[in-house]
Amino acid sequence: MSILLNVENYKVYYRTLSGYIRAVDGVYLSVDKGKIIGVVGESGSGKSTLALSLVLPKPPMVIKGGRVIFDNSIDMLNLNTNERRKLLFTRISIIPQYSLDALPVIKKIRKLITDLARDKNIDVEELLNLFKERLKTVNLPDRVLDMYPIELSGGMRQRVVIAISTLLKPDLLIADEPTSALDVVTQRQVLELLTDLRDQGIIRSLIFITHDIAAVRQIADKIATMYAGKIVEIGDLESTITSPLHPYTSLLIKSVPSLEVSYRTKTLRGLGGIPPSLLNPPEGCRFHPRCPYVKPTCTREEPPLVKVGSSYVACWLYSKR
Amino acid sequence: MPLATYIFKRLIIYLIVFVVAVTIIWALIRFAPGDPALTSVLRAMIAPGVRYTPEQIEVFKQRAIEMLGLNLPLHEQYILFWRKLLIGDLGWSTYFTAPVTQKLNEIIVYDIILITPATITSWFLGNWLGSLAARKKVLDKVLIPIIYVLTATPYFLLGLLMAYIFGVVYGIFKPVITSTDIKMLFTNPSLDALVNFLKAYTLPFLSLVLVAMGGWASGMRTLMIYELESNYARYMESIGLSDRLIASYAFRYAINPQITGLGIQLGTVIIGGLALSGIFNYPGAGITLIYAINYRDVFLIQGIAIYYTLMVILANFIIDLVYILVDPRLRLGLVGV
Amino acid sequence: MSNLTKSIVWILIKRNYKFWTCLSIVLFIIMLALLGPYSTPYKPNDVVTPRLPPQSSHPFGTDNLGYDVFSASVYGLRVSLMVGFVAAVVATTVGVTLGLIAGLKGGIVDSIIDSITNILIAIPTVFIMIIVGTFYVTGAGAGTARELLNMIFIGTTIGLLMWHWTARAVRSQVIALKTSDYVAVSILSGNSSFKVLIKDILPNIASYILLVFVIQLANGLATSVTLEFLGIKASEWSLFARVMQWLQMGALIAHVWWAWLIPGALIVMLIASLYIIVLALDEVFNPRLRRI
Repeated sequence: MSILLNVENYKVYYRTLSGYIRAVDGVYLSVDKGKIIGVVGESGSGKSTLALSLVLPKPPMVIKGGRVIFDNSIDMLNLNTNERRKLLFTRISIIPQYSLDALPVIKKIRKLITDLARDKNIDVEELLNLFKERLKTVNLPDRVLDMYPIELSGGMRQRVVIAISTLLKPDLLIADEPTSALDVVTQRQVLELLTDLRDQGIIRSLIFITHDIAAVRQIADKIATMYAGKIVEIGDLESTITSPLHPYTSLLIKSVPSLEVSYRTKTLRGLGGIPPSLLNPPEGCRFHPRCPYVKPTCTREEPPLVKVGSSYVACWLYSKR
Repeated sequence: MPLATYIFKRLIIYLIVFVVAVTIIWALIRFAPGDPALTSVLRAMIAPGVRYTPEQIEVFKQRAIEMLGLNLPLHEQYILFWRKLLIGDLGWSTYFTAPVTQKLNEIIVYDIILITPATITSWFLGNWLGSLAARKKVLDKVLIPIIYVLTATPYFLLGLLMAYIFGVVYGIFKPVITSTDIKMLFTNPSLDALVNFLKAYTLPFLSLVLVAMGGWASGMRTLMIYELESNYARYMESIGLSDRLIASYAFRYAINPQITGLGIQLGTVIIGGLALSGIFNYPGAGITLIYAINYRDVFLIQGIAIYYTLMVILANFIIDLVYILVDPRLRLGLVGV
Repeated sequence: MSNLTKSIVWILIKRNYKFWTCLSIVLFIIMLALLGPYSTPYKPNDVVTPRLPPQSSHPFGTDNLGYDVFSASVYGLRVSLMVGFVAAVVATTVGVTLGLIAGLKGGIVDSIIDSITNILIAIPTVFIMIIVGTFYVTGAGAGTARELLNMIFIGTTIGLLMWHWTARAVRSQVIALKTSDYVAVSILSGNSSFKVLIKDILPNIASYILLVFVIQLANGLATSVTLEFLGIKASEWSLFARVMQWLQMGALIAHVWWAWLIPGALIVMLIASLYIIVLALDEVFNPRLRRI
């Protein structure tokens, strides 16, 4: 299985008045070609930063180290603005968290696509036709082209953004919380759409970022769990869901209520405590203040990411000290 | 609401504004301490250097009172005032010894040819400059003091500076202008007249443009910075679009309040015009006012106030019409939505 | 404001060079106006040798008519500053009050205030200032009570013709706050309207009102100074009252530039600094405007 994106010891901080916020603090990740990987975590775990830093690393965001290699050849951290611009939209694309707001309101969609084409030196007619095709895939009518974004509903706007971002069949699509602002029915539609796009070859690989483990379960091939700026577990979907290794992943899964089981039969195990400050993360394993299996080692040393079966996990339960 | 109704409504509003403004001006002058109108007319009647007996002065006074209609009850005076106004009679200027309206008709032309191009130029230049400062962070540091010093400079001061540097020290332009300099180009056009015109016109024009430009630039800068931080700008950047394209979108958003601002800014530009007219002796309302104030020529002062208020209101109305052309939402009747 | 917010605000202000430079300039000029008159032996209407360039006995030189420019500047600054300050106080007080009322009460009261605002915006108020200044103000000798009265009068007039945009701005802030959640909570928890006003709304627009005041001060100064030039002055000692006289006497041609350039530079630096202070504070309070 060839690897599309390889992330090693990646560090992305935010420079603030009080110091560095260590949003991504030594992340290891790899995205296989043609696969969907879900990055799951609480709010403030750094998962959005992980995605955004690849696409738009702007101050106060600061890349502090690591290696990110795209398609075995491109060093993402040493790109200049022009090179990055060439990559964006053609090979790497993003569906932002604010996609309901992402379209400029004052221009008709057609104008946006036309400007897009001219700016990227693509034939305008070609791109418009491509866009019309894409509109079909996302289940929107052609006349959307001649409308203003304010005339569209939120869900429609998001689908327009998905259509635009996938126009040139990017190798890697990053979807940042695409289902968070939607109702359950629409959520499912979006998830199906994304899977469809992958199956039709319109997107090759997808990084799906969310806090909603139930959503990611529907489409991901692999799940990576992030906590306080670190990857704590990566594994394929089934094994992670049925037998999660890391206590955090396990608690996350257990905190999703299942429809058929009543509370009387099986109580929800919640996750106590609050996410740690990324300004001054806890010593040792960052999860230790909330972990039910905490040992003395956990409070002193950070566990390394080790292979356990077909998964990777960073937890002293699985490493020797 | 349909377009015609909208225009009609605006017209009514402006009419009301005009009536209120004129009433305030009339009242302020009518009730000013020392009865300046009466004094002014009296003075004009009295020949200089001649001694009059108190009885003779009393006669003059009665005549003046009758002329001004001050013996009428107040509301009739008000109506009389409006009747005169509607036929264009703004009274008699003691300074010019001519009807006020006649003088003002001449003066307004000079002011219009100075203020209108200056306003338009400064609007375009200012918006461009502000947008530039917003886009280029490096330039911004230098541009902020420049922009703010420009907008902070009172018009007459910049006029003084320009007159001194380019008029006196470098002698390229004329620090003092006569009305012939301006008039010549239109009555007797020739290359000489053109050169002379430019020598006279340029400095007041530049002063007006530079200060006004500062104002537009500071506003546009803030608006652009705000737009460049918006979600659509971020998205466009995330899909690798060029800074230039993103800036053009942001500009299109940011320019809207600047367009509405044009009407509002007119009041300020008038002040600039007045000040510069004073400094350069440019034959506009400014220098006329300065003489009128010195001479206590009541009707001239009142006349300028009323005339120019009317002009400003008219200009506001025209800008409203232009705005309708520019903004498709208004045309489509989405006003008030 | 919570303690964390206060400290962030303080740190941001500390690091904002624009703010401190301009604040120093403003304070320096105010000092000049307050203490300057004590450091010069001359009064602005003492005639000495005309047209002397800046030198040790006359740090700003003397003008065309023989007056010492330094004393004219420092005394004149006092007058202009006073007028501008009064204008700002009046404009802010009236504007904030009416803006609050319009925003909170809404309905007819709002419409009335809105109409008045619209009228004031549409007419060139400078003419009203000129009429009032010409016919309602009598010249005053320097240092007399009449002079003080004049300054307050002219300042108030300017203020009364400037309050409308403050009112507009405050009104929209109040309306935005009115519909916010914590005001809703406050009302729900039984606070009277007055209490809501004092406890919830006012503290949140306090910083805004401060900024508005500073802008009005700058505008008031600019207006007062221009009016002086046009012939409407509170006192014989107004900064730019003599400019027309100088021009008519050919001061420009006589190259007596220090007479108008130095006071001019002082005023411009003062006004520009006030604007930049507002810009800097705006950046502190509004993160979207920060340039990183």
